[in-house]
Amino acid sequence: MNCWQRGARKILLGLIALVALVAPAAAQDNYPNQPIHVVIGFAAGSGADILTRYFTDKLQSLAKQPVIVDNKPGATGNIALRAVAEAKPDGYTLLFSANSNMAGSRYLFKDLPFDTIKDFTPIASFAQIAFVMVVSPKSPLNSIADLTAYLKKKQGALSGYTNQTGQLSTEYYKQLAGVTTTPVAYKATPDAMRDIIEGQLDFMIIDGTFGAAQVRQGQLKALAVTTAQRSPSLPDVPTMQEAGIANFEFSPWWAAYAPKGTPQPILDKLQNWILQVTPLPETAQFLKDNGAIPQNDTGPQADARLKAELPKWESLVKAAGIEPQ
Amino acid sequence: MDTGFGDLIHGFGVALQWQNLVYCLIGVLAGNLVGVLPGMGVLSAISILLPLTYGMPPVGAVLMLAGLAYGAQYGGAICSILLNLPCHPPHAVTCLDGFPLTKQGKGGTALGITMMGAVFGAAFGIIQMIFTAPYIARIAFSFGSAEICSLMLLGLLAGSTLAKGSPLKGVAMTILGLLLGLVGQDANTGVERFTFGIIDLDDGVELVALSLGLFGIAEFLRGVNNTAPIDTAYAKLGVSDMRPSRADMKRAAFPILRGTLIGSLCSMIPGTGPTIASFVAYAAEKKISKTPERFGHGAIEGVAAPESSTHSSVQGDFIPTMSLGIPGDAVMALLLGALIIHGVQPGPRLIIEHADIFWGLIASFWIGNLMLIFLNVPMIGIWVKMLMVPYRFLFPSALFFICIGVFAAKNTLFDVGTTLFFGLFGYLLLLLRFEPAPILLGFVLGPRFEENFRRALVIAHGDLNTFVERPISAVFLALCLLLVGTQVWVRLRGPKTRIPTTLLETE
Repeated sequence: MNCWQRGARKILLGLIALVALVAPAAAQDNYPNQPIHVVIGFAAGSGADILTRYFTDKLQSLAKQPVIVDNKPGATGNIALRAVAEAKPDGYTLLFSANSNMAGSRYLFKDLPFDTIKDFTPIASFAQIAFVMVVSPKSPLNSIADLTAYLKKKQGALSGYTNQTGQLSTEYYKQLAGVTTTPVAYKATPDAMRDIIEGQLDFMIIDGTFGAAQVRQGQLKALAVTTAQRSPSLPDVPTMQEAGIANFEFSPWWAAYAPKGTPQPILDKLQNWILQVTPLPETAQFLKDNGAIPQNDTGPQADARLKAELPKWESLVKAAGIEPQ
Repeated sequence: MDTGFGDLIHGFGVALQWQNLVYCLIGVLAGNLVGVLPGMGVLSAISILLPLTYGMPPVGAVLMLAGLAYGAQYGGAICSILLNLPCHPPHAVTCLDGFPLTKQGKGGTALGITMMGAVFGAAFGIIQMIFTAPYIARIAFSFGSAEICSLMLLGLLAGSTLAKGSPLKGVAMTILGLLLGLVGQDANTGVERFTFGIIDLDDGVELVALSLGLFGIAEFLRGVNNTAPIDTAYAKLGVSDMRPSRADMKRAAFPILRGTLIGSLCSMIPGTGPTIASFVAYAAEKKISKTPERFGHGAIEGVAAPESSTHSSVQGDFIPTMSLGIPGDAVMALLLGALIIHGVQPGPRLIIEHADIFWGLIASFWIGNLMLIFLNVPMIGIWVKMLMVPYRFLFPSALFFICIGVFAAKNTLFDVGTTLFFGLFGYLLLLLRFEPAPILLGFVLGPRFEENFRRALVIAHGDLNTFVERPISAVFLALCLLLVGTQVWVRLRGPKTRIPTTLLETE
């Protein structure tokens, strides 16, 4: 190899190194210059999908780039989490997820190929979903106090659930109220609805996204909502705390997450955009229609909120007697 | 309201919305086409179109896929009568007399009679559905976990014991389907079963991947090896040829009526699809005929009876599928799967909770059958020409659509791999003469059986008596016993009037 060639090679290597140094900075400055993908663990058309698409539509006009929703349902959301954990931390792959996945899954599964806390950075949170404690419209029970008194007397009372949040929030109520029930699992909401309406189940905590409409139509009787504040879609229904269960707060909340290692300037940009969307009156109306409450946390706030919740989830998974898989 | 006429009018309102009309038209057109093409079954066609329906409203999706199911019956008859090709199992028996008629130059007449029988049979099946549905709807709310569990048991027993071919193989395939249905996270305890640590399997095997593999890819692999050149020598005819003479009409009238009744009876028995109906109708017709020797040499009755039977049974099959959630055959099992994919829970409450789907579907039956008559009469020539499309174009493009479709279901390549796996596995089964249809039955019904069984027990605090104490559940269990009892009795007595199995296995 002669001298000239060697020199050319040095220059070339130098150039490559220079590009490598400059590229990330450039990428941050003109971020986003290509479509952003938002992964969610729910199927197209589901309640979570509708919620996500409202926010991605708004993000799209702020980012001036297409924001595409990738529905990766399955394995209680773990497939979506895995996809984002493995993605390049360049701000073009984001995760929208509920706290049940980020806090709950840690204790429900043993061998997840990712760590829900270490592998993700919260960007901002945007909504809380009020779950609703319901009984049959034929039921003589009219308040949480009635229900607690009834359950303390009844042997073998039945409570239903269709998802983890329902299951664990029921467990939480049982713990705080000091009652016992036999939990009944349902895969499909309509089956559970039938059994609660017919009075086969004594009570159930359901997702307010569709539950609120049924309560307003009189198909179900609501005793309380699980959030700390009343839900705008059911303003007459008290919170659990108001109904006498002190300290009860169980509010599934949604936030945007990026894979660990995403550059701070990109995270800041995204956080700003999301925090601009939440205060819009349009957003408040949308959330109210869908049984949700705005929740405007910055990234670090969401991070702190999540970490503070961990012990609660851990103890509830234990209380529900779920063996981690 | 005693009958569903008020609801039916609402149904017409749904079915006549222009986008639903278009979906219905696409369905029957595609159905008609696959009915004609040998090697392309209704199952593979539905599995290819299924992914296209993800973005559609559930009503449109169901109308389209159902249109495919009954539209194919029209195409199948053309193949049998004009080309002597049993493209489609329910029409295999039509070849016996249809093709001799064609050779005598009366192919047009045979098709004309077929068309009349089809319309009569279908109309009867639809009316039957209108009258049955409100009764089922009335008891729907008394269907709790115990009832659904017993109903699923009945569906599983009926599906596996009445399957075509060897009963032992049928039961084996149903059990395989049950095992596949076990894969994934258990709803009650969260325990992972047969997932081998792969989180993609946590929710179980994807229904679309399983059915596209078993019925799409496996069927193609078989078709690729079986494409004999097609003789279209007798296939030229015009619209005027199709008007049957008065004598033929007279001869065919009662066979049409009898065929229709047999078809509708068969549709009432879960697990008995149109194939069995058409064979039974043909056998019955031959038995009561004063001139049985004419059968096989171009007897018009031998076309009229099985064809009307097929059509009334295909329409009637929708009754247990839509109102009870029990599919009569693999096509209905796949339609049931389509409902589940669209978030519609099949079962007794479907008529109440999804009235638009149920009554829209019935109304679309009328519209679709009408479309088919207008499509068929002038287009027979075109359908016959379609047979000339080389398979080297047809099969690869179908495979391409299958892969795209599976990927689109959940945006994951894992399911494409699953499909290929089940495609090869299904082909192996076909080579060993195992019928893959009961796998789907076990896969669809099994998990619902398990879920409801366990839930019924939890609700009853572990008391097994709950299944016999609840009257509806007890009736289903009695039917299960009756079914198994008669099957055992028939087998012990030895086969006397068995359907020729060779014919049943042609597809």
